Amino acid sequence: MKDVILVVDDDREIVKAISILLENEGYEVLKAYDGMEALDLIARKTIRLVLIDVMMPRLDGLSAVMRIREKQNIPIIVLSAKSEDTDKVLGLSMGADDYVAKPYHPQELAARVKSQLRRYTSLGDINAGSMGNRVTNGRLSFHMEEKMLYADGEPVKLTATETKIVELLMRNLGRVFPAEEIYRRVWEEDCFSPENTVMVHIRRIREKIELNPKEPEYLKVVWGIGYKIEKMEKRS
Amino acid sequence: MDTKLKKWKSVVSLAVLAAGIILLLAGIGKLNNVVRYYGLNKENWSDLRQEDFQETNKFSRYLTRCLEAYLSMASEGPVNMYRIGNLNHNYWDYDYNYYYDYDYDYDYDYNYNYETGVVSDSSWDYENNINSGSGFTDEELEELEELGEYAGEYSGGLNGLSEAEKEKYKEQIKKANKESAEHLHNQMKDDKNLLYKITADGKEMYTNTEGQKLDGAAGVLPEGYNFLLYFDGAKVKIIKDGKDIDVYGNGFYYDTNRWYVPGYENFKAGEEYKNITVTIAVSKELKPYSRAGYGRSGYEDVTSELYWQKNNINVQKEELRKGAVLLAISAAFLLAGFFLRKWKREGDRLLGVMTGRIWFEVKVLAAFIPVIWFALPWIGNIISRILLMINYDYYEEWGESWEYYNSGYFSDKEGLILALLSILLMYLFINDMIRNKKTWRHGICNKIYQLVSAKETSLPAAQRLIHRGIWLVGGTLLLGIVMITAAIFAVNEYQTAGIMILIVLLVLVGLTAIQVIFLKKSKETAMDLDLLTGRITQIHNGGYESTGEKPADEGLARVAAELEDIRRGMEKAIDETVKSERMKVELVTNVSHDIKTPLTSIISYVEFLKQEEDLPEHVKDYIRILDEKSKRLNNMIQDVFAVSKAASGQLPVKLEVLDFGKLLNQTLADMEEVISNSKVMIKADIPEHPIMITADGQRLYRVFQNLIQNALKYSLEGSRVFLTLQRDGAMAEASIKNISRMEIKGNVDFTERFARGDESRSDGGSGLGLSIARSFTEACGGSFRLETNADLFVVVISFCVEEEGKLLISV
Repeated sequence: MKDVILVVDDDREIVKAISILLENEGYEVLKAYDGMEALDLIARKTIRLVLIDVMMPRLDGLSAVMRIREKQNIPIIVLSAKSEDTDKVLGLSMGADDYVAKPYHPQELAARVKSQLRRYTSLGDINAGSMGNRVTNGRLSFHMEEKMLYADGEPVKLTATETKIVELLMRNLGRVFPAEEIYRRVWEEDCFSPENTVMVHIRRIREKIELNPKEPEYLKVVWGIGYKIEKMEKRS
Repeated sequence: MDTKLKKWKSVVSLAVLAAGIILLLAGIGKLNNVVRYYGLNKENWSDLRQEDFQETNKFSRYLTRCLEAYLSMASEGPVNMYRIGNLNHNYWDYDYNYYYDYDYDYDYDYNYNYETGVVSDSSWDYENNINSGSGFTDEELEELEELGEYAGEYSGGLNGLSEAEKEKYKEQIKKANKESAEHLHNQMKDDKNLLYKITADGKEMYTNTEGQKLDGAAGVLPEGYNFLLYFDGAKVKIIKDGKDIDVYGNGFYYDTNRWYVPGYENFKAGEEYKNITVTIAVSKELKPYSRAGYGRSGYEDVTSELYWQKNNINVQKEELRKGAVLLAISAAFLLAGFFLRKWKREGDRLLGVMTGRIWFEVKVLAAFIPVIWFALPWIGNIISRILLMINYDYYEEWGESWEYYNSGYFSDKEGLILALLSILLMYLFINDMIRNKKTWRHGICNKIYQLVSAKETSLPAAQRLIHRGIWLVGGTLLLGIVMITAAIFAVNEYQTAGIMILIVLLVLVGLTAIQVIFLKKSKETAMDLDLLTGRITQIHNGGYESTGEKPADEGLARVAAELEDIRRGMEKAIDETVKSERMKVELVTNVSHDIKTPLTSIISYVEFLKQEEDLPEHVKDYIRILDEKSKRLNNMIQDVFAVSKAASGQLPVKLEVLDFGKLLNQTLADMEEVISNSKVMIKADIPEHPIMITADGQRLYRVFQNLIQNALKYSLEGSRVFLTLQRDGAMAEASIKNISRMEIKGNVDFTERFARGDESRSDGGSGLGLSIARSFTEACGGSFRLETNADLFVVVISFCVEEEGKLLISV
């Protein structure tokens, strides 16, 4: 059975474009053109995920998100032309699971939808509690014994060096490591100018774990200091 | 209703407390009277405890003195009237119902003549004992006067005379003694409280029995008399109420013996008294008796000392009783006051409100003058003692006037009122200090201080103007001190001193008044000036909000109004600029949002088109162009948005301490791919050691990303781009130098928005790269400098270096 996704936007062309995109990915799409319509549909149908715009007539996206959250725990991705950090924080604090700025890259949007659905359906239990020797952070989960990183529950193929870097950063979520320290710990030797080497690996890891490697959410550069994996707040 | 009740309660509690204090003072006053006039010695207290006057020490002492006098009379010795009857030293205090008694002063002057066994007085004054018309010739009287003066100057009285002198004056002295004995007898004989009979060789010499039966040897007393003292020539016999009293005890005289009469083993009567007998009888009931005598030395008043002695003891007892009662009642009142102290609080508050309205100086004077007045006797005593210690001459000059304060300055009533007043005013003063915060602020001194204090003003010009008043106040103060000192000295010298002091006071008051007015006006002007200059400074610093305050002075008010006009003009201009800037930002924001929505569709559908496979090659090419341009459009929108935000100062920055060199290395590593694909080389010269600065790393990364992209894009092919970082003192400077591919035109501000080397705008940039770099740098607190030299294009970005102590952030 196909997952049903509700797409809400007052711009019909965008709704259509997203439908085409998601239907190509194998999902069933329901369409709504304002917040009230969306709430109505959610009340009547079984929906697995909501993609919703912010600025809409009758009932705006953020209000709709709050109303949905009163009853449902389904993943919600907010789409908005507002791309400021403050807008992003506001959207997430209203109960959205993800925030995608317009204009989005179609492939990225598809990846995000997939990620949310996987996490919601198959990995709900992983998020719920800590499972033995795992470090779980948002979409990512690192298995200590297997030395294996999972993104959205799927194993990520990493080289030995990349795994070491990921392990270091996953074990110390949020802590900033200068390139020198990463090099010393991973390669276990000193290096005169490790910035380039480390950066190359960082970039490769990003390609494998980030939904949009150009705007990484997890593996971040702290400019002038070092590198870190951002610690994700769990949605309550 | 409630407040009225509260008021009554407070009045009641205060009244109770006041009554308690008044009674306490009155009680202490009564006790003090007793102590003050009678001293605190044992004899007095034992007298006060005696019910029977005849058992008191005073009584026995007086009878002893009488016996001495009678013996002296009988043996033709000198007689001192003061000792027993003539009492013109003594007076009656009508205020206190009290009879002054100098008994003890005389005790110290006793001279006991062991030869004669008679006690004589050193300040024996013949003159006073001799009546006019007593049969002396004037010459004789003169001689006696000299003799008296002579005798008076030396202790020992007549005993101090040489034998020859004694011999010379023998007759005169004898005559004088006889004369004074007669006089004394005349004075005393009518006082029937005390009967006496003096015999010599069996012959009656002096008596006032007047036919009443009095026989000492047989112990016979007239009716109404119950006390008998009989001296038989050697010993004394005392009978009281028909009973013999043991006079001599074990026969030896000690200080503690009550009867100081001859007849002890160690205190025998002389041979010359062998044939003399003295009988004294005392009436049971004592009656007041007075006799006016107007002798040649003036007024003499003879009274019955026995009666007064008894009366004094009774008065004292009464005073003690009253004192005790008053103290008991006062204790009750004070206790009640203690329990009502909660009620009193409201009263204290009201008193505080009342006293709060009075000038502080007045309060200080009112509170302390009565206290000092009250304490003057003690202060006088202390000062005179100190003077005495330093130099006797000073003491003579100044101290004696202080001594005046030392003794009995106030009567008891005055003292009581003064004490009460002191306590009341002190209470009010202390209450005022407690209730009213900073009560000293309300007063003339503080007023004048306020006038010369420049606290309200903030600018030096006005402050200087106000502070000038200090000279005025200081000068007047000095003048005042000089004038008052002069006036005080004048008091001793001139009769017109009173008028002088009045004039001085008037001048001082007038001067002070003129000063206060002058200072007030001067301060007003200074405040206006402060307001005006403050406003100018405010406007200079960019504060345009009007406070609405206007100088009171007309001329200054006009200047202020003109200034306000200038300000309004400036404000208007600036407001308009700010408004248009804000509108621009809003426009850009709205437009960029509005463009994003259609752009989303374009990008989405272009993506679908890209996935179509059966399209002809040239259509695929069109789609590629659409894809590229739509993405560039997206970038441009984001850049425009960022730069307009930064330009309007709304760019949020997250400042942290970071290593500038590392940031450059990271940026190079991040762009490694782009750099290696370009046709230029980047030569980096970045020091190994950290150079810490405070900036927003994300923004600064954007700055260098833009600068490097710019350099890659516009550099001459095959040339080298130099990226260097160096520390120059407290500054860290990063520079990017590249050689432009095209000739750099002069007069182009490259950081101006949309500015570009060539005007065709055909290349891929938004034209905002340098503009973003500059505004982001400045938002982080750094400085951005651009230099061109022929085709050399140099950008220098500098930040302040953080000191070593703050390098705690890196691991």
